Amino acid sequence: MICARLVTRASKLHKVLPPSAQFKNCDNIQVAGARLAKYSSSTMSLKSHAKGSPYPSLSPGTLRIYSMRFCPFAQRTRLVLEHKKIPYETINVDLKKKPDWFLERNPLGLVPVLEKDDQVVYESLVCDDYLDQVYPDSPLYPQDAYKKARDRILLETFSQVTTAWYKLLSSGGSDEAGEKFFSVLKTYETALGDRGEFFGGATPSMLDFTAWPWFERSGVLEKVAPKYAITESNFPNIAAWQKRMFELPAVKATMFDTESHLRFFASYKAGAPDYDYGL
Amino acid sequence: MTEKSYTTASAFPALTPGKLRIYSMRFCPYAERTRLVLEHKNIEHETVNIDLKQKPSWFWDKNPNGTVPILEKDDKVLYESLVCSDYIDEVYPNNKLTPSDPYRRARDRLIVELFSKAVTLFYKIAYGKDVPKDAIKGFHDALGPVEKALAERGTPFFGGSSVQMIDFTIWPHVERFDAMAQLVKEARVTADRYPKLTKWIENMGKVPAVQKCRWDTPAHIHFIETVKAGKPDYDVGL
Repeated sequence: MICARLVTRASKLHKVLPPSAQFKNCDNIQVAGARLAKYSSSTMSLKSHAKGSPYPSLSPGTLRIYSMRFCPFAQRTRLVLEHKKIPYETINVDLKKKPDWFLERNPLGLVPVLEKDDQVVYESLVCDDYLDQVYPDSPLYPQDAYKKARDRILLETFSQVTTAWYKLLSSGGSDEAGEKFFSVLKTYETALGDRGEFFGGATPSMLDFTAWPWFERSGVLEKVAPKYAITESNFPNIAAWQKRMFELPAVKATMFDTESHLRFFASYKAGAPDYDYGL
Repeated sequence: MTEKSYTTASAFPALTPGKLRIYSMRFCPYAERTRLVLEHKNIEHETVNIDLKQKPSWFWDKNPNGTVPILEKDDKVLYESLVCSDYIDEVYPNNKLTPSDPYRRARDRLIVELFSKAVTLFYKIAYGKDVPKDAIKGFHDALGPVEKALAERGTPFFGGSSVQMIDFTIWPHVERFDAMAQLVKEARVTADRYPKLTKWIENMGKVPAVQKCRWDTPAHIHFIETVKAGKPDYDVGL
């Protein structure tokens, strides 16, 4: 199984896209990203490790994330690492041919996974909270217990948005799935209206980074379901927030553009996910 | 305050300033998580039970997801069982239930995450019209790692030598496993297959908060059967 979360039903993206003019000015997308990913060690290869490959040794005291470059769940944790300026190294994993040493660390076989010395954490939300508690700079929750609890409610219920997002994608843009997606988005549109530029108010918080990866991939969803695109007229707060999020250093350090997301998704649909696209 | 469930016809029971209220349902395992924490920490509160098939409109106003538990006090409202439980533990500092070490907290959450896979199958088995063939195997496949995690900890409770948040989070669904096994024998959690969980169940049975909040197996069987019949007996015995 490639990725337990992505849905594999037929979609319109069966063609591999032609090379885009955008890429002419950027020889290597990942190199550009790597320069921006200031807190990720650049000495290690970003190519995915597959079954049979040896365990890449981990130096004492070094924080490592096991990831996959296009995985939205792993991106949540990468965003937290970058935003909090935590030094780390990245090991990308081939999720179709998972190394045994990876499965030993997370029997559920999913990214992200954090490892440092003898400590292992997985599940994106658990990883994110763990980092926020261990590295106190740029805290991602309010100090006030009640405000923090209200943030956590929005975090817990965000799974309704990801579920609806994937259903809309896999349905090929059905009205039923589209209406559901729009209805679960309303809570978050309202929350932004109440809170300000970010879910965290003046600065981004855990909810901003937890939600972001699916909004970065809007272009993938819009190809399949153009009727259910997020626009300034139907979701003005979310649309404005998306623009602001693109300006954040943490987002710039971890993102891919729509073209890259479309290419990866097409390769995934074709049964041969190009984990190392761009490297 | 009445324990009888409030329905669509019921007026909103006025809040007393400064008084903590939990919106609940007597047989809901998720609400029980937070009720256990309130009992364990001896926190004064009032309970408003909700008819979950005929929810009052004022109930939806508090939680658009329409679930229990909900906590309310003055102008503060919270829902989602884990959020409610954690909030109570943070705001009422006696008998602390959450570890202070972030790594321990993370590993506790991972055990709860593993357990949640068994919970999904519990519902399929206990409440399903027909038990799906692979649900029983799936249930044991999911519960195995939880038994293993408890064995690795080597302590009487998941949380250590005394009961902690992780134990109260896991307990309510385990409380209902016996009822499930009476309905579907192959789903039994036996002592030979689950020695650590069996001992843990015994240990939890001695915790005062559990004794206060739990129902026995016949009560659970009755409730489950009334749910399957389409008329949940929320107010049985009242």
